[in-house]
Amino acid sequence: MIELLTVEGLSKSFGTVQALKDISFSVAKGELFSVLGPSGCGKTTLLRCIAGLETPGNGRIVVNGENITMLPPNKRDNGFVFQNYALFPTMTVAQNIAFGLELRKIPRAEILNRVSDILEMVGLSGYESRKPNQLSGGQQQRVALARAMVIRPSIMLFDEPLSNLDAKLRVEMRSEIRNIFSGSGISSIYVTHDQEEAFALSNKVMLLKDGIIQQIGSPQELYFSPLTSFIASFIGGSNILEGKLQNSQGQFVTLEVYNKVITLCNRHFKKLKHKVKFSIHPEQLTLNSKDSSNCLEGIVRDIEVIGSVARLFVKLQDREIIVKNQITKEEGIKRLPRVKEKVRIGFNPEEAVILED
Amino acid sequence: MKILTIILKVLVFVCLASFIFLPILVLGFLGFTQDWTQIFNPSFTVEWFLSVPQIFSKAILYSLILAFITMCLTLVVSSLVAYLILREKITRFSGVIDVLIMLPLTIPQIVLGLAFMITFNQPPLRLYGTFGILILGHFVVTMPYAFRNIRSTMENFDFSILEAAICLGASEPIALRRVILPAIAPSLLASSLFSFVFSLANFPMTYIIAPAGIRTIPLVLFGYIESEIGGANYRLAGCLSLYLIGLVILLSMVVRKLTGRNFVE
Repeated sequence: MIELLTVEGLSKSFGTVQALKDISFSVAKGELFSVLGPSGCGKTTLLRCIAGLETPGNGRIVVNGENITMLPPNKRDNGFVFQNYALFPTMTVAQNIAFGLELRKIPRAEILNRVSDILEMVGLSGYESRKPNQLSGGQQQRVALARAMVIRPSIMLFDEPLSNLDAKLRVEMRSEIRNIFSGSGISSIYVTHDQEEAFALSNKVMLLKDGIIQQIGSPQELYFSPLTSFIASFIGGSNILEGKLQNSQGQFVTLEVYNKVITLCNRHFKKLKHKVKFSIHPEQLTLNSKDSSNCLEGIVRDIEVIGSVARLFVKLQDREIIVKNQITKEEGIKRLPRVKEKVRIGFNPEEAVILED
Repeated sequence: MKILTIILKVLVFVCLASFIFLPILVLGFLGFTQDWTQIFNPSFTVEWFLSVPQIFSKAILYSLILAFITMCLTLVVSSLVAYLILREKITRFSGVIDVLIMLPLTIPQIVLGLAFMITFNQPPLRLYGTFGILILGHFVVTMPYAFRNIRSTMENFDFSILEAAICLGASEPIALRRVILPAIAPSLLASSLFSFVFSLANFPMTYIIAPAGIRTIPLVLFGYIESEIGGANYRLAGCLSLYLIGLVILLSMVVRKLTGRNFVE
């Protein structure tokens, strides 16, 4: 894996607020790398430092072996896609896209070719003479994408490009971006607060909180092996439960949870404290099943049915957990427990994840 | 209830019409009559209307030149302020700049004119009695309106297009010239036209600081008021007013075309 971009020890403060604290990571050539996190976690600041729009207080940014930390943004080889598109309002679609090529003194004939090729790639052939205010949000975003891509940068930088689009359009655009970039050899850094988006698009995800890296890994790693309760609950809305350590033998751990004996699998042989926190995803929980090795009792507080997914909010003594059930037939709804009913929640030891905090 | 609303609407319309439109209509109407005393039995003539450019040529010329120079000055200063806001060089002082530029609005023009008259009477600032003081005075009273317009445009402006241009490889001068300038040019132009119109129509400040021999259109119109009714040719005054009103309406249509906004906004 060739490392195209490496960030080392990057820190950035705005006055007394430290937006980034000692951030270090690498992006390989051709990799689609997502930076995920809640609002204010520093992900946009990080992207802007890489683009050169902000100057870091500390640390280095190295691209292809060259230290570009102090290089001005117009001398870096990046394609930046903005959240609000940032199309030039007085220029046509073709002029917008041609802008970067004109600056690079590319011959007129070649510019025309590349513009029409890229318009075809984003599905906007024939829109050359339109102005940005004559385009829908989705179309504007495609032009913004085309404009950044047409200059053939080595790194594409995306700043929450799909946040201003409606849900259906977001899913469509997501798919298009994935089609265009996977296998293209262009590295991308994609900033988003939407976990689903990050997971759908990337090979690798970095989760940030308050300017600190929480975890870096493939989407599967983050989903099935989160390190902390923040990561577990941010990714996939996992349930966090706590229990008193009773016994630990090799990989098997027994805990006392709400007066019941629960067995967990300590896959990574983590060091255990007296109180052990673990997470389990809503879809990994079963209702009133007879053959689950682990069992907890609770009362249904609320049920939410959206399409084929039923979400049950179950109260277990001091906290509430969410159980997700897939319903394939309309009769399935009738077989769900009722509100205020007592239920037995079951799960497998291998599916629960022991957390480090 | 509905009838009451309609009566109220008609009442408001009639009041506004009679206080605002009626006097202007009468004045304009007068300009086209042949015999001033026969107001209700008029016979129309365009004789007076067409003779205005020749009779008032000096005043019209002075007004236009003064307005044009004021417009150019405000254009330059507005552009400068716009650039500084863009580069965030003055965000720390923007409150101060704001107050300074808007201050003339809060001071009555007559008072301002008096202050000018006294201040610029002594060396080394001996501008009193020259065209220069007139330009300065007009600039000071029209700048707030131009500035207000520019400021609201800049506040609602999406500067990420500047960043987009820079990320695509543009240097700052190129980004400003090719991306920002075309986007704010209509607004800059519109606010300069504001100054043009305000300069044309300005009276209180002009009356006090205008040097002898230089009379603008409003000053000429004022001259008619000072003489007795019936003694002067009110028809000419009426026609001149129509020219002025016509010019203002024309320019506000241009402003509207440029910015899509009303003159009063």
